[in-house]
Amino acid sequence: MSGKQKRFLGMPLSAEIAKTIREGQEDGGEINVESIPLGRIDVDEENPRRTGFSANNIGDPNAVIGDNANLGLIWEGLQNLAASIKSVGVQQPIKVYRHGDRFRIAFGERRFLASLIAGKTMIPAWILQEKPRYLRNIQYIENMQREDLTAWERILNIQGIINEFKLSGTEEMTVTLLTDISGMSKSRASHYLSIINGPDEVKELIRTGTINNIEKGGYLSRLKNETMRSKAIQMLKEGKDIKFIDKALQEKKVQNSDHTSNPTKLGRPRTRINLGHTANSNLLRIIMTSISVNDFILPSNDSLEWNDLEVVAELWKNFIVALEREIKQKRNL
Amino acid sequence: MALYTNFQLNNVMKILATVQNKGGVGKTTICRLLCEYLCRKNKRVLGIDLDSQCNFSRRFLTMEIDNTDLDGVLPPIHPDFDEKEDSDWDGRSSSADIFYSGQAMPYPTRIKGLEIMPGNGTLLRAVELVRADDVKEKVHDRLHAFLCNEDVQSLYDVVIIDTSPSKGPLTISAMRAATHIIIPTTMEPQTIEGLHGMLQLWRRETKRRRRGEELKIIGILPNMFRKGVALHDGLYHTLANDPGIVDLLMPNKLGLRIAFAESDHPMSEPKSVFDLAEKDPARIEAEIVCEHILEKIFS
Repeated sequence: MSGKQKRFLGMPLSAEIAKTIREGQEDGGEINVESIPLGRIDVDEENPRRTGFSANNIGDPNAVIGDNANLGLIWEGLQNLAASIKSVGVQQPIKVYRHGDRFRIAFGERRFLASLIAGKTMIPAWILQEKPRYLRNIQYIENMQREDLTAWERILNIQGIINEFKLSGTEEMTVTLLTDISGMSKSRASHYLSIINGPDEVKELIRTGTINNIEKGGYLSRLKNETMRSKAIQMLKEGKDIKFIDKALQEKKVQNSDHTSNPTKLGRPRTRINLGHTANSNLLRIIMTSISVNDFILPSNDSLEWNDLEVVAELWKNFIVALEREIKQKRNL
Repeated sequence: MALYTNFQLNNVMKILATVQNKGGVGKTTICRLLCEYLCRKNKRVLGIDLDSQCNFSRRFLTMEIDNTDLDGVLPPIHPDFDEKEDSDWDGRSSSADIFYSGQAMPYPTRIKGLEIMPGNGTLLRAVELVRADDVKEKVHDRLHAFLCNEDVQSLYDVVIIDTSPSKGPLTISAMRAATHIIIPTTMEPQTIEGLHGMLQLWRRETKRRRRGEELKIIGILPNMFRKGVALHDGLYHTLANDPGIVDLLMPNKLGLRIAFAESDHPMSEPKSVFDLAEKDPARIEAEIVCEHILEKIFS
């Protein structure tokens, strides 16, 4: 050992310690997974697709089911889930929020009920500090993920989301908003909104199951011209697909339309022109050296770093401003 | 049992737990110093010993030993026990009773304003070894429920909880009940590792709290510090220069001083570090640290 003084700087864990502190401070009172007693959990009576079962009546399923075949199916599903929970436990924590000194289920009513059937006493749960904003919406959206829904049931779900938004404030439901909160694609969101805001005729076709496809429903709802819409419906009933129908209708439209009218322009009127982009500063150098502008002095080649795009961009900006000014002055003379 | 609704009461009674799953870093010493100091500041203090070794209890009570059991440390017969009146009570009460029956009877001590809920080695050990999830969950909540009791809340200003060197159910129950924690830490690698474990536990606990009721860390208290020892200086320097840690590092340290251990001895005179000469460095250090903690808890 040398006579040098030993030094102990650094500690392998210190980065981890700092990270733990930061996480604790940032997310204090936020969210956590805990194992909580089933006895302290209640189902949420306002869930749009409540099963109808609860801790109170799960012991006597027949009284709940009665002659409702749907409830019978749900009960069967719960039995299967309970069997799986018995053997491997609840794999995905449910989500609950505090309600007084008890918890209410935000998501996972079936897992909760099946755990009761399986004779469990605890269940893993995310504990949310408060009832989630737009809880109904999220429940509707979670319901949307289920595969056993008809097109009409899905539309009712979306209608539920929209109603919730109307009740909860001023936000108008748009395609973007629906995309954001539901995670569905923009085109799907747009189909749903077209149907919901569209003619009753189309809704009726979906409700009765004549159309069981959101794309078709959306397409029909967007046809504002009633004659064209009935033609489209006729073709759909004949088994034609959207592509075919759209083509057929477009051809009709072209035949009927007035060729002299101006094609409609979309968007705001153009007020300026973008001069384009280039990574080649030499191009700018050539332009700037070939046009002489009064108030603009191009630095000599040696004093300018032509490879630095920041510098050249700034120079170019000044050049354009000076050029514009000069043209304006000339016009005024 | 209103487990989660009574936290607002805690705004009145402060509950301070010392936690660190590395042993021998000064949890009991800082608990003891705080009990003495806070009583001198006219606070009504309840000390709770959750360590089956019962060292904290022994500082204020004469514990009995049951030689037939390795963990056999028993509280003495309670001074209020009357054999004729209390036929269904064996006369002893310990912190373990909080977990078994939900009721416990603190003991008076020689210090005015200080009562102690001593440990019971065998019973605490049994609680610490609980494995079944649902029972563990009950253990976690039990101390909190007990301290939320209005009677308890009205009797004390501060509760000081000493824990065992572990991350077991009893330590979690202390964290769940606490409004504040202190993590005493020596500047040595094993203890820093223990510090990390405690911070992880704290992160989990504070996340499950309601907003505004987060579990506050009073600080990491550097203890048994020896200035000039390269390891101590180096690790302290590391923590103090880490912007993510420095805010939690308490501004003052407790040095490695024999006076703290001396005052634990039954023959020691004076009985308290705070009765040492005014200029005694141990007393000065203890006062600075305790005053800082007092200010933090009641700020």
